[in-house]
Amino acid sequence: MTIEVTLDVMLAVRKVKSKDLAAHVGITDANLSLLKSGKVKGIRFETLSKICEYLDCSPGDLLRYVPGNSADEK
Amino acid sequence: MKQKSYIQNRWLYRLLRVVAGVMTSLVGLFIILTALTALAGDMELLTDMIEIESDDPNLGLAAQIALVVTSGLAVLTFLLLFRSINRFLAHAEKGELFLDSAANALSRMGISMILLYVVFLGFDVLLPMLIEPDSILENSVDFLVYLIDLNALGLLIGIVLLALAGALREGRELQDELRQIV
Repeated sequence: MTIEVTLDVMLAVRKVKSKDLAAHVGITDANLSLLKSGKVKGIRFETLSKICEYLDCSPGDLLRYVPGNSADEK
Repeated sequence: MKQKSYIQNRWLYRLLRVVAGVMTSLVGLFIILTALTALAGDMELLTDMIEIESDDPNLGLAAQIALVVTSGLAVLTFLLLFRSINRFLAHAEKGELFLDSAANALSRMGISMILLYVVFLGFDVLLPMLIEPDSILENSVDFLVYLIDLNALGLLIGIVLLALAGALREGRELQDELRQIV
């Protein structure tokens, strides 16, 4: 995937438990775990907004563009 | 997706499944009975079914083969039609339409509707032609009309059902993709 999810880094920086974040956002722990590992195809703006609100950060702190990996995906 | 919203009345679906079973069984049994009695020499049911006016119709070898093939195809078609209707309504009853199984059932329903058109052509055109070859010249216009009569609507419905089955498959794929968006 060309977009890397760095949510786990922000969770560590803010010292927030995944369970608390999942409860605030309103998604299951399993879905948050999938999001952290980048095993999802997308993220809703609503979810992103709630994560940013809880972690006091911007989307750029949670997602990172990694160039040159799209060919590997196919 | 809230597929529960599709469910209007479970008992209605169950009733429709029973009706489909009874109707297809009756038609299938009637066709078998007609074919067997005709092969045994009693042409009354067959002449009523294919609407020929001859008092003493001649069931030659070609007509016998055509009767067996058409009747066999008819029974298989009705069996396929019932199975697909039953399967699809069972999914509809549970509100689970975005499944490969439901799409396959809809596809089979479409195929059986197309086969039904072929079966009706066999009974309405082929058999009268083989049993009463003389009537072809007299009623050639009538035979042509059979190709575009109400049975042709079944053919169109069959094609539409096949297209809908494709749409259902695409819907299932979209639902799978939607599940991967958090």
